[in-house]
Amino acid sequence: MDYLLHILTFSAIYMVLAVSLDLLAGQTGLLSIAQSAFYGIGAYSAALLSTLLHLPFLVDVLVGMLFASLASFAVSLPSLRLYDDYFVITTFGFQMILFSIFNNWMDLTRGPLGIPGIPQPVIFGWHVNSHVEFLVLSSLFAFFTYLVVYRLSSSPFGRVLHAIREDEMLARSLGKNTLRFKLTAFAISAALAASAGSLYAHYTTYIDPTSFTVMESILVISMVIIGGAGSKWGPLVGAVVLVTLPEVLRFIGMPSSVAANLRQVIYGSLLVIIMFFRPRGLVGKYGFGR
Amino acid sequence: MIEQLISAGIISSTGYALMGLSLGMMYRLNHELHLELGGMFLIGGYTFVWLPQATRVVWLLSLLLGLLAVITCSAVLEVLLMRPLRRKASSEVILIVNLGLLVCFQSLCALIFGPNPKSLPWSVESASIAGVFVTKPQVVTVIATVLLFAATIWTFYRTSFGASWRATANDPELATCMGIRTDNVQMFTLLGCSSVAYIAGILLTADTAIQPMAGFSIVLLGFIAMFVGGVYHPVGILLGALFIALIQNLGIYWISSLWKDAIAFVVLILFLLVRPQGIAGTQSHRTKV
Repeated sequence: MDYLLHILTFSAIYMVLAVSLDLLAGQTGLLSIAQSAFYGIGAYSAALLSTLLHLPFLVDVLVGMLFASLASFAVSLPSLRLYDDYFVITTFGFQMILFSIFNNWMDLTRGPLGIPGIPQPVIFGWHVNSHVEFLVLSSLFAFFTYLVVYRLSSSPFGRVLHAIREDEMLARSLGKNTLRFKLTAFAISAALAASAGSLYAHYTTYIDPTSFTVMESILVISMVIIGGAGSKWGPLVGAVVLVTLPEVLRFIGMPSSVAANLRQVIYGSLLVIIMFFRPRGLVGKYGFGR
Repeated sequence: MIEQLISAGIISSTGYALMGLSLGMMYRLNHELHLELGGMFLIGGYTFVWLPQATRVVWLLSLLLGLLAVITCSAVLEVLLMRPLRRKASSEVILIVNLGLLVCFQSLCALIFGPNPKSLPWSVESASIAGVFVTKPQVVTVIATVLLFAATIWTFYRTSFGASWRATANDPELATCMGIRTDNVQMFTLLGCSSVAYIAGILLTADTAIQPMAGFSIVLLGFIAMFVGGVYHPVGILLGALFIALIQNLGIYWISSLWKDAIAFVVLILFLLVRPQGIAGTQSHRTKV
């Protein structure tokens, strides 16, 4: 039962990540492989603020979101002027730089040693210390993220994002300052990913750089793509599928070292297969500009 | 000290240059970023480390077998995956497919060989040239890089195949109208680029070691070399690779060597902001929205 709760909680955390990336990739058409970097910023902010300064949960989540938004400008300002391929690789590069910072800046992040002893969240007197309570908290986060992104998506702001996705030149010719919209979308997406990071940090009570590698980013983008970018249910479906599918491997009795790599082989193959046969994803409508 | 760093820079640049060459020639042709060439690099590295002992076949023959495997693999990918995708999909889809392929290759290598670096247990001879220490594989790598670049420039700029390639790169439809078999051009270019990536894998592993993550890093660094140099000519790619590698190796003189990778990306970003056409490029319209 605890195991099931754990899987559901992880699904919820990844739903936050997938939905946050969908704002960028699905709604605006910006394929970013830097999401795990913002996830990491949220996680490390939460970890450091709560272990060193003993700030309460909500404060460190909000501060993490702020840091991630600010950091997003470092990523978005240079890369948003570029075409698709170059943009993707630039976000890839930023992911690697931030991983380098997490792993090497020993004074701040303790590098590969990680940060242990992150306290469990206390929200206005509610001590979140059981699996069920954590699932409730994560689901609240997932619901909040979903609400934010899909309200935005059906608002005028969202319509401009869709226009940018379909034909940016046209949007600009209609007088929309597309750069400003893209920067905003990036900042919001980064903030939401950071909130997932803070949640993750308080859930596992120990974080280290290996959770925030480029493979993690690829996992999140896979969830968005396989589920269906740009649709309401797509990222949610993608998150659930890609979190639960590898767990099935566990039941076949694979040793965990094999399972981890086999899981990645599955992610890679799924990406290829879905893109080949059904580019709009399992439940999506938008097929990446076909 | 400085000479050693410069020589280290020149030697690192060979890996980036070869990878940048294979990525760049494909990109120039069809504007597709063939990230799975990193997988070919990994096949090269692991073949070098594993195949001779595993099959007890003569060393050179097993390397050739590996080359055959790479060529077959690329041909299959091209026919089964790339050709249908090119007809019906956008470039983003192709990029994601290539990314997925790279992830597959890398994870399969991690699955079969484990995540730790592997190298051959031989002792590497080193020598001193003009006061700088170099190893035998490094010298071979530098010579091989120069030869491969020369061969590439000759093939793509001095043969009739090269003319077809340049025609297809400029305007595929017009090239087809002129009777050029663009499908064959794509196929042979992919085979050539995969072979270059494979050879790069062998050369770099001979000097140090191979590990699964190297697939991602070398592709990224090759891309940076290609971009910083300006993607439209092999010489540009070579210049880009030298530039990046030299800045990396001279940079770690002042900053801790942990930041070596980050330096490359910072250079990339600076170029993106200041000179998106690269060192040797002239057109900037393709990179900017």
